[in-house]
Amino acid sequence: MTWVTFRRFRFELVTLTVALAALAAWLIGTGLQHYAAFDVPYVGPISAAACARQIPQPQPNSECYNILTTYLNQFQGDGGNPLLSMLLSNTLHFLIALVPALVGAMLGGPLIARELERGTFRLVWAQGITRGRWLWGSVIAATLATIALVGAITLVVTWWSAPLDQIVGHFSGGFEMEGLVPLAYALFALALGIALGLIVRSSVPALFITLLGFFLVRSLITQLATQLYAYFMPPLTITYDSSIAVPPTGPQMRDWVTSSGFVDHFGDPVSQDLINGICGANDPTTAGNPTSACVHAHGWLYTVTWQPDSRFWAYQGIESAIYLALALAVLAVAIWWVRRRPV
Amino acid sequence: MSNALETAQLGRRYGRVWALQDCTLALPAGRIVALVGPNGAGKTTFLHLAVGLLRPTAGSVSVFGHSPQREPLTVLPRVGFVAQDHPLYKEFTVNDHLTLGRKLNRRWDEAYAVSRLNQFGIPLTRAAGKLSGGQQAQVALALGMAKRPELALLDEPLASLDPLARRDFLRALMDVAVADGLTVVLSSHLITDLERVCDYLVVLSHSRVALIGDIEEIVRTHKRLVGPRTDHTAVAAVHNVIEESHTARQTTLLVRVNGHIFDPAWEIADVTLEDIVLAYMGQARASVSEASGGGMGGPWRSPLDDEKHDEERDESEVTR
Repeated sequence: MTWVTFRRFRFELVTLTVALAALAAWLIGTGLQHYAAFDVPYVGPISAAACARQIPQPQPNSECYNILTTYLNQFQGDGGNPLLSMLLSNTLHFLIALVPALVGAMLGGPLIARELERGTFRLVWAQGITRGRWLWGSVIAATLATIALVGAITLVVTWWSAPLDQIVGHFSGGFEMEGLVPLAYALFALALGIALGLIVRSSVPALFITLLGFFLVRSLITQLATQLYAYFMPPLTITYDSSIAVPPTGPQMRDWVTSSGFVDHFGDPVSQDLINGICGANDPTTAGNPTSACVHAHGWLYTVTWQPDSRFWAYQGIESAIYLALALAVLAVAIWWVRRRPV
Repeated sequence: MSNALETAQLGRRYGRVWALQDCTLALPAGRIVALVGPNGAGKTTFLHLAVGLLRPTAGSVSVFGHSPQREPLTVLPRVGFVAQDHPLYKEFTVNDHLTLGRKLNRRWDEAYAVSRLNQFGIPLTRAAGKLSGGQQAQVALALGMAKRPELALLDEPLASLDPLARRDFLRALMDVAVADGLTVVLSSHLITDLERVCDYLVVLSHSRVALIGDIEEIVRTHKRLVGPRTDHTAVAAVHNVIEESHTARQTTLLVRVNGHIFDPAWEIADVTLEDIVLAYMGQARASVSEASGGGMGGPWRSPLDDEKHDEERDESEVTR
C-alpha cells in the first residue's frame, strides 16, 4: 500500500518537495550570510557568537549586549539585508508556520476522500488485501511522507535560526518553527485531514476545511499556551525594588518573560497609568523613568514572571505531546465514526 | 456441480429502504450469468455484497463456500471484480495499475494482463484518464483477470462502451471464460446486451429475484398464448401466467408452461428472452403495487437508483 499511496500522491509530493526545497535553498543562502557575520568579529571586537556564549548572559548595556543588539539590528533593521528583514518579519514567520499544516492537510485531506470521491476504493478494495491493511497502509505511508518533508525543512529552519535563538532565546526566536513541534503540528493536521476527508468525502474542500480547523485549534492552544506551560512547569518569578538594581537572579537575555509589572505591598498589580500619573510621566525630570525614587517612595515593587530558555526542550515536549495526543484522538474518532455507522 | 455463489435470504437495507431483499439463489460454477434488472433493482448491491464491499443487513452470501466479509483473504483472490464505470486511478499509467495489482495481490499473472492489453493495442505508458472509455474498461477487466480469478463479477461493464467496444469486450471476456472455466456474472439493465454470451439468467426487480435459471430452459418453457377474449382461469390453473393483455376481441398471455396440453383455442408462439425478462419485471412491479395497496407497509418507495446506493454505501463502508 505504501507504493500505491506514494504513487497516488505523486503530484502533491513532488509539488511540496520542490516548494520546500526552494524555501530550504533560500534559508541556506541567507543562513550562510548571517552565520558568517555571527562567527567572526564583525560588528565589534568580539564575535557575536562569543558574546552569545557568555555565561552569565550579557547584561543590558554591556559591550557584548551592544554587539548582539547591533548584530540583530543589522539583520532585522532597515539598514540590514531587506530579504532577511522580511524573513524575520511576521509574514515569513506565518509562511513557515503554515508549512506543517499545509503538508498535513494536502496529504491527509484527500487520503481517503479522493478514493471515495472518485470511486477508486471499489478498485482497491477488490484487490487481494483486507480493508484494514488498505487503511493502515495509506495512513502509515502518509505519516512517513509527512515526517520526511516536515522533518527536513524543520532541520533547515532550526539551523537557520540557531544564531538568532542564541541571542533572543528559543522561545522568542522560533519555538513553533523548530525542534519537534512542527512535526507534531503536521501529524495533527494529517489526522484532522483524514477525519474531515471521511466526513466531507471530497478532497479539495477537505483540504481547506482542514487548514481552517487546524488554525482554529492552533490559535486556541496558543491562547492557552502560557497557562498550559505554567501548569506543567510553573514559571519563575521575582519581585524587587526597581529603583535599586536588577538582581542577577532575574530573567536573563534569552529567557521568555511572560508577564511583568508593578505591584503594591500586598502583591496586587498597580497599573502603569497610575504610576505615570502619580510619579509624573510628564515631569521632564522623571519622564521615561518611572522606576525612580518616586516609585520607591510609594513602595511599589516590580515583578517579573518568566520561563527560562533552558526549558525550551521541555516545552517542545509538552506542546508536541498535546498535538500528538490530539492527532491520535482525531484518528481514533475517525475510525470510530466510520465503524459506528450501520454497515 | 458446485456453486460459485450462494445466497440465503440475503438482504441489504439503506436506512428504511431495502435495496435487496430475501434473495436466495445459487449460481452454478462455470456459467456465464446475466444479472438483469431495471436501474435500482439491486444489481450493484448484489455484486457489492458478493465481493464484500458491503455487509449484508440480513441473510448470508458465500463465494465458493466462504463469507466475503469474514474471510476476505480467502474470497478476494478468487474473485475478479470490475465495479460500475470501471474506476481507475486517472493519473496512474496502465503500467502503474499493473504495479498496483502486483503489489496488492499474491496471485498475479502480469504477463497475461500485458498480453491482453497489447492485444487491444492499449499503450501501457499512457495515463488511464487519457484512454478512451472502451480502453479503460479493457484495463479494468485486465486487472480483474490478472488475478486469475475463479469468479468474475462485472457491474454494468458495457454501459459506457460503443457497440464495437462492446463486442471486443465480450469477445475478450469469453476467451478467458472458456479457457479457464471461469464463472462470470455480468450485470446490465438490458438483456439484449448479454443474450449472446450468457447461459444463465437472474432477473432482479424491485430488490427481489423475479426469475432465475438456465436461459435455454427459460426460453423453452415460456410461451405466448393468443386467443379469444375469454376467461383464462383454465390456463392459469395449469400454467403460470406472467403477463396478460387484452384487446376488445382477444387476450394475449405470457405463460410459463407446466405441461404440454393446450386448449386449441389458444395460438401458441415462442417468445424472445427480452420479452420474458420484461414480463417478469412488469409482474414484479404489479405485485409490489398490490402489496402496498393493501396498506401493509405504508406507501411504497421507489428503489434508490444505483448512484444513491453508492453514496449510502460509501458512508457506511469506508473502513474496517
